[in-house]
Amino acid sequence: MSAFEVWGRVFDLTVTWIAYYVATINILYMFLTVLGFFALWRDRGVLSRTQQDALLRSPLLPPVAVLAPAFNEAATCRESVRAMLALHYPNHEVIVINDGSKDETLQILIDEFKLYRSGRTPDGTLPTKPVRAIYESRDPIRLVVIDKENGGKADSLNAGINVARAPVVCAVDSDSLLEERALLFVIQPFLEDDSTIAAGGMIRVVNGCTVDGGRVTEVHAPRTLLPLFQAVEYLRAFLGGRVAFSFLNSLLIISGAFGVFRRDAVIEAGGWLTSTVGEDMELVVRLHRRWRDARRRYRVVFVAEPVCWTEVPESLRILQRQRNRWQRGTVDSMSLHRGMILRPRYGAIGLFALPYFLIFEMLGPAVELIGYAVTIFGLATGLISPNVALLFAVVSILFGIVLSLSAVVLEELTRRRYPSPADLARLFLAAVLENLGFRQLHTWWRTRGLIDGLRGKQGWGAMERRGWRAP
Amino acid sequence: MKEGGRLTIWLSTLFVIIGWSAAIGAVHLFFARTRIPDAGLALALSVAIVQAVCIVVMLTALMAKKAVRARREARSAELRLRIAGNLASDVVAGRDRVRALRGYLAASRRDVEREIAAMAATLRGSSRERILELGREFGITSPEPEGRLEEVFAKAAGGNLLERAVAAEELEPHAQRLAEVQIPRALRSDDSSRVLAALEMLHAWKRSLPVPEVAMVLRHGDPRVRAAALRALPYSAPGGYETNVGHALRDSDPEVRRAAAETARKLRLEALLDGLVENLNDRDRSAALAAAFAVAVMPEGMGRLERVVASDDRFAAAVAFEALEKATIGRLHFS
Repeated sequence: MSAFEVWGRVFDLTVTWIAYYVATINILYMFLTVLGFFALWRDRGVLSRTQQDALLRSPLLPPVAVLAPAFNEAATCRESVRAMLALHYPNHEVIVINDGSKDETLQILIDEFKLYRSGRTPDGTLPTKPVRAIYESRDPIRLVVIDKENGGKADSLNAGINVARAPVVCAVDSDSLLEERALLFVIQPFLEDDSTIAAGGMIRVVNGCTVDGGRVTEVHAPRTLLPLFQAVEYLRAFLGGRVAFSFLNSLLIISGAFGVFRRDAVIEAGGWLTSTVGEDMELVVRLHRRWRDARRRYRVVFVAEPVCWTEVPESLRILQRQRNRWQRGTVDSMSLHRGMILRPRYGAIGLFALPYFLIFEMLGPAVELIGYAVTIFGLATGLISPNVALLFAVVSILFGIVLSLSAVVLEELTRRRYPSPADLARLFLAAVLENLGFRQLHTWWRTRGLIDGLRGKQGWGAMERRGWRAP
Repeated sequence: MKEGGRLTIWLSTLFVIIGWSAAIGAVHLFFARTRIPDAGLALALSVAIVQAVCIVVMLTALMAKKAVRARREARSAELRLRIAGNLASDVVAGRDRVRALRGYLAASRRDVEREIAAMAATLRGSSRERILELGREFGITSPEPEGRLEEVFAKAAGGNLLERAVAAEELEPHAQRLAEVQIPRALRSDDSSRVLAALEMLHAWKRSLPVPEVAMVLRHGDPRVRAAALRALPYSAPGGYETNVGHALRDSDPEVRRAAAETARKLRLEALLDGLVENLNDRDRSAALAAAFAVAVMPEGMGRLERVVASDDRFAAAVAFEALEKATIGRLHFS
């Protein structure tokens, strides 16, 4: 066999494997989306408005501590803390953790909320960077501000959990906006089943919406392309994937922007890991591991109703940093918990969720990139005919559109946050257009993130905050 | 989620996936394969066609549903305004609007239901009675559990915390009646969850109801029951507070000690001051803090706390200091 023939065979094999890979991933996505659809449809509107009102009066609901790490959040901290304090929940406390901000964050909070240096001391035992002071408000509000040396988000959350006294803690980004009844909805799995140790809510894109007094008053799809792509992406990830993984009790990620945990469970697991950039995923995987090791019954749940609005990057540079970080976080979690993969004792986590994340989420971008390279090479050398390449590209794009559109349909059938048909039309347009350039760019960023993650690169990169404003 | 519900979801998913695969298979067999000799390419074309059809169907359904919904909501908003006007006229002003309301019932039962439920939630007294009467007259399920108290209570007692919390609020207007039969019966039950549910309701209602059976469960084997009984104690007035709460301050379970301190604070049980001061050394911080906050509200409490702050016991001193601070600036009720 000549060298040319050998290379030809290798090429054919590569193309065949990539085709199988693409088919498998698309069928899996399809399966998860359909499963998520029925799970979501089944769980929609569990509580009537009257029952929600009844719950808001109930003293039986567990106290919740909202933990909001803040680093250089001077632009948004005043409004977002007000919004957190105004959440509709019968018994919640807001704990802002000033993670050594270099701007005026702490002073703004002290002035705005009449803070005084409190005698309150941390109860928890999680190791953190030194706490300089704990402040509480003289006003009739339940606000605690922890001032500590810079140690990152995970370290701040650990400091917050040490100071919190409520049995349930809600970790949020200080610039995120929770809907008024978000806590009431996200606490429900804990009330329904006391084996629930963690629950996550839905994250939506706030860009394009009207925000007034820290509340989203008018919902619109983003008006610029990059946030619009992300809006579709968030819908697809949360309403499709996470609902399905939650249904399978295999949820591996609870977003750092909005996650609720039993405090004793987090402390028992050792808190958020400070040495990774994917601390949200890592903690959830660790909770699974610990509870499965101990053969204790537990649940980690995604609830689609409580909504947290978040500002997504509007520039390619910032978005690239964010996606690189997310990919590194996935690599970290997979690497730290590789011992769980394909181990039957970890049930659906070990046999399905982790292999899925390893093969499709972690390595997926690299395989996709190889696919593009092979196609270009094949076209250039004549090994692949343009018609075949075109047909496979069309199939792949149509799959992408169907999945994105399914998420938009699901949104309309269950949550209906976007009131205008024009918004839905924009989302649909984004579902089509994202396949023509953005997806490929995203794949490239994630592949870079994969390489950086495998090399052990750390660091978050800056996220620019513009403050809440009318669009 | 119930297992039956899970099975339905699995079956529905399976059904859709099979339907989707069958559609691809059919297109492949009857269309693509007859035109493209290469099997792989023909299959890819089949998938593309099915996906394209899916997109068109979904998009059409999405937009049609949005348009229908928008029209319905506009109509409903207008209708609800008129229904609310008629209801207010009947219920508040005492004018008979039953005939007009029956007309709306025929046009949109859901809107009438919604308006009645919304009004029932905000009204009290005779107006509330009238709106509920209208609901019954129109065959709309009454939001009141009147007549099915036993059933609602039994369901709540066997349910999870979410169901219990909702039921507690729903049953609140009937607390007096429930406290006469159902609650005492539940408290005498061997089933801890029933006992717990009854105690939680007493706590949730925050109404003074004579239920002496609460004292019986203060020494229950389940610490959750003991803690709940202590929290319900101030409302059930069985007497003998000092003895019972004093005993609970020395309970082996920290949650019970905490509940005991909270009850002592609520009832201002001065006789327990020494016991509470002892508990400032409780190694469970939440129990120690509850004790400190209770000490702070007692007449002699501030002086006792100051002495603990000046002592060598750093743990108790920190707890006492926080209670002193909160009491001084009037923030004890936020703790």
